[in-house]
Amino acid sequence: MSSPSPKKQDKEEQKQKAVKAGEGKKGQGKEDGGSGGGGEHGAAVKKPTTKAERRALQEAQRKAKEERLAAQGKGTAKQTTSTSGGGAKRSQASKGGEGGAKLEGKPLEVPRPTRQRNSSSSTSVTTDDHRPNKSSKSSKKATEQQVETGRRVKQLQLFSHLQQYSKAPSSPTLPWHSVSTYTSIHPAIIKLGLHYSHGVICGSNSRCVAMLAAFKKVINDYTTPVQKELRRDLDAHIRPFINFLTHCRPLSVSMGNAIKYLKREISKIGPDQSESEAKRLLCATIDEYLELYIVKAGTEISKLCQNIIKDNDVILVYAFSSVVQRVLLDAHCSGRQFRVIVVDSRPKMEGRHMLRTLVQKGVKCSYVLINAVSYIMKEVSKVIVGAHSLLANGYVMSRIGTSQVALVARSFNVPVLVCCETYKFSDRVQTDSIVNNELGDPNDLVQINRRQGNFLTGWKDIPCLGLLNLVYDVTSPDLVSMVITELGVIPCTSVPVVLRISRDETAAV
Amino acid sequence: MSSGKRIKVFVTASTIDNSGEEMHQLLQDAKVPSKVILDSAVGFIMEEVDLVIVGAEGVAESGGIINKIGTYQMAVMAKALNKPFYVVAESFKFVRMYPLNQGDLPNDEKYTSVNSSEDSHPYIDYSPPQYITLLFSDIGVLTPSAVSDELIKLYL
Repeated sequence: MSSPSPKKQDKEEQKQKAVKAGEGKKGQGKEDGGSGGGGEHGAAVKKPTTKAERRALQEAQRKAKEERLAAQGKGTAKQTTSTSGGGAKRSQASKGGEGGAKLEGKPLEVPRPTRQRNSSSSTSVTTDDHRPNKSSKSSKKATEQQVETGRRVKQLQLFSHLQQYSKAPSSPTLPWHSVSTYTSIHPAIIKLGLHYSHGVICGSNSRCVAMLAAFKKVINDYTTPVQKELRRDLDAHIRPFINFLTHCRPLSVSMGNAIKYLKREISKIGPDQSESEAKRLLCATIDEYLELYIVKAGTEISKLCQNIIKDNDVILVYAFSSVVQRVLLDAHCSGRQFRVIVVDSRPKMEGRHMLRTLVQKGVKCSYVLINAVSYIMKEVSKVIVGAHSLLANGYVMSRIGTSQVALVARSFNVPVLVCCETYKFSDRVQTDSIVNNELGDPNDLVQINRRQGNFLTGWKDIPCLGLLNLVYDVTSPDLVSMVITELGVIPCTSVPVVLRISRDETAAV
Repeated sequence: MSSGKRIKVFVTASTIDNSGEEMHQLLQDAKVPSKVILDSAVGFIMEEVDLVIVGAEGVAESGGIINKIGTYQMAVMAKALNKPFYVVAESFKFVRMYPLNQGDLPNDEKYTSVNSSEDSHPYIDYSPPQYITLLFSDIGVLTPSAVSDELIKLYL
């Protein structure tokens, strides 16, 4: 789709204004940014001033951009990567340009499918069904919206196919989207979404567990509308929640698999079951899933690792993984003598959390940053890392930096062990870290503690500079010696076998 | 030989128990042209051979094999000179073991004498899967990664 003519831009501009004003309610001066949500969260006093401010700013910017676009004609505006300020308005406007509209500088049809591919297949279905008009409208005007509302996040061309980072504003009000649908979001889900967005809940297992706990609340609070069946309606009821969570932060593979499981269980409910019985059953299956695939799996993995960790081992771990922490603590409790080297990296510095918990239990630890990993690797006898997910071609998707550590370990002939529960296995195939990833907040990279001063603070004003904060990377199977799952120890290449077995099991059931 | 192909075999002497000589004798009886070489001459002879075949005492879950001492260096040499390295082993030898390195092999299998490991020599070694091209077994011709698949089918 080539750049639209100025005339079309104007028409779309009007439409887009209407979209921004509210869920398809043209002409209303209703501000998006969630007056409903504001009511819910009791920050109503603040809202009027900021709303007015933002509105005024928005209008002014829109007009300015409109004139500039009309003058320029072709989609040069689309290619814009320069930014200037933005602040509170940016965060609000950025979420205002929601749906598929997080991309710039690319053909407009492309954003929709790729963004859906980012989230699990369940949510790709949901976005289509639930708000078709809004989403398609917003995706069509992806570039215009951003340009005109002046969303000020600089983007890198190479990563423009990914869902761009847009942070929820730090105020507790419901931010960003056009409102009315989101007044119907369960508060537990809103809380969860904000936790994800602000990084309060971080880590594949914790996110999945928190999500399932929230869904239990949702199920308990759910009442079947008259003339509707629970097993059909509950699915539709949950869809907007999943969308919301995806907008806060792209779903992890573990969450995606859990959602698929939940939907399957919902569809299995018999038509003649009473509502309370069905709800009780669903909550029981969620508990069972948590118990079996997360808790027990962790125990099994830890047990298997006890035989692998030997006395006088020097174990290198990277960042934080709940499974690896469990393994090390259990090994220490069972009396193994070993020491641990924790490797950490900016900006998240998750390794500190790992270090703290290990030291508290009395494990001998050292701590280095990832720059020093090639220096320290000659002392290491084993590397143990966790994983975000295992892909069907044997690649390991994990926190960014893991493949670096694995590469250095390979060059020193140190075995790399990946601990991963089977529920994190994914059907997806990718061989590099670019085609599918998550973008974090580029502003996290700005903080550098140097005596010479922080020279990155003005990065948005420098036109040739962009900051990239990737969250995951992909490690190839030839760098990984073994994968430890609750089913046993398998080589990396056997992931599709496990997937096949679990698929056969669920099919049989 | 019985299918009419003309082959020549180099057999390593395997000095610990000289089982190489035994093999050489069997081949001579079967009228296969063969020659005994020193274990240390494997690197020297590797450029002349087309492929390497060994047996296995155990096939690990990783796809690597446990075999008589000296197999590992043959495997590494074959990889270095890009010669295919084939293993022939029956499926009852597949074990649910996953050694990471030589040190992970069980000690009682390793040493010939009852004394401590300083006095005696290791009897077996472990060849990791990246050096092995194919495994010929009664359940079929497998790549090292397929060994785990077969084991999962058998045990899970």
